[in-house]
Amino acid sequence: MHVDEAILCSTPAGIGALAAGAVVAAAGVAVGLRRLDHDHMPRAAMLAAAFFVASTIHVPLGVAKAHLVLTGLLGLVLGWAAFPAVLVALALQAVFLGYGGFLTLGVNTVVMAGPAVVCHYALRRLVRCDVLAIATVAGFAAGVAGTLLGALVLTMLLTWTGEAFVVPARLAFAAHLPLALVEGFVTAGAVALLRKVRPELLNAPLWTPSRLEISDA
Amino acid sequence: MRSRRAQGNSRPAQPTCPCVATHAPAAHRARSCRLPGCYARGARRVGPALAPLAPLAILAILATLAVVLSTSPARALAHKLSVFATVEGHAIRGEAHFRDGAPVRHATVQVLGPAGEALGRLQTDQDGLFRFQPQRRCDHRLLVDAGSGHAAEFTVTAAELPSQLGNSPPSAASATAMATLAAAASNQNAPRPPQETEPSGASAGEPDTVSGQLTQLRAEVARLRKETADANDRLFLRDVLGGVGFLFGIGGTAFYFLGLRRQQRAVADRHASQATG
Repeated sequence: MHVDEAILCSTPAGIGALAAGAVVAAAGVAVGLRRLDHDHMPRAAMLAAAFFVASTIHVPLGVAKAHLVLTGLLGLVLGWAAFPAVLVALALQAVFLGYGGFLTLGVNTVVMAGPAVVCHYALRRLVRCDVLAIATVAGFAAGVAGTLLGALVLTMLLTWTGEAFVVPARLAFAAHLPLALVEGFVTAGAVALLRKVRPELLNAPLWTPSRLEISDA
Repeated sequence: MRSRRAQGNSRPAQPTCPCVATHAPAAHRARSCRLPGCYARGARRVGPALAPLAPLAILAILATLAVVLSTSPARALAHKLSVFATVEGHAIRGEAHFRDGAPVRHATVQVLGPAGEALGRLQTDQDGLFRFQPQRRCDHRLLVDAGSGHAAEFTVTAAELPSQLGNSPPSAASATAMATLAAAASNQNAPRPPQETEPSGASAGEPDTVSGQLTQLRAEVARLRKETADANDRLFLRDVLGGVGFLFGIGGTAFYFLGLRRQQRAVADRHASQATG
């Protein structure tokens, strides 16, 4: 889901998109840094590292391969702090792995962290549920929604800069559907685990099992 | 947790362990309780030093998995697009593929000159190949756009192009000369299926002559250059570990400075409350 520099630098609409993306990303990062306090810094660093590593895991889908993005998980755990985490991780990806570029950092941050914030506001209450099934399904929904929203933003961006004539927008969006499914499962598993083992990462209370054994030992 | 018995003791009230209400007492008794507020006698609390180890282990496993999955023989990064072009005879032959070897079908190729002017626009075929006829001897920038944000660039320098081409845009006379040359070259190539190492140009039919050998040599060198370019872009574990290390470093530094600020704020609050109260 990374946008390469070569695409956007060649047209004036592309350069406008770069500038707009940079501005929106800067605003998001400012909000995220304000909300990132001392207690939440380790989890931001950990999830940024997970985002970095997950993009090196390629899921074979038909002819091409797609890589995990983990947008849903980032949104559920970090909220607005997903913006600085994704920005730093993308910058390191550009340096170490060559994904994307430095000029498209702003645009890529908006594409990957914007849906994370949307998922945060939409699903954070559901994820705190005591019923594990509901929390898991909410995690699946976060994974699918995060990826599909990111694909939507990417398609809109490419359409606006005039690149959509190369590949029809519908096809480009549909290519992300299998990836959305895989990410849904990964996020569901992660949310189920976190809900039980580390509920504080989801801002959820301790998970109470439905059957309490009270014994006088 | 002997909470019911403890209520009858005369000892000072111990804080009730939260495990009683929420955790299965069996695990509590087995001393495997890991809740941070557990006061069970003999329960081992997982110290702050050990807590990050589990995610670190998971990250290490993920990183190794990523490298192993992506370094199967001759396969590398699938996400990146790669384009490579050489000059064969009088034409630029190019090829675009994803890093795992899959060809890029029907992608747009823009040919730009050194000043950014558009020299041509092509499409790659079923196998990701394309041909372009240069009109003058200058740097040609080949920009391949595969949609969905994937693009790649390759530059064919002026030195690689044949010297018969002029430096200026072609006049009418040289344009016809170019056209005849191009027609001869394409007539030679049309019956042959497009293959990467297939030498084009007038000397293709005589492998024994010096020019035929030179053409074959150039094809071999082109293939070597492509393999070197592909090998340089493989995913290395050291890159993944470097990125993760940087993230931990940045996070840790920020954590430290935020902690300092919190400490200063606490001291200031204490001073303020002492001053007022």
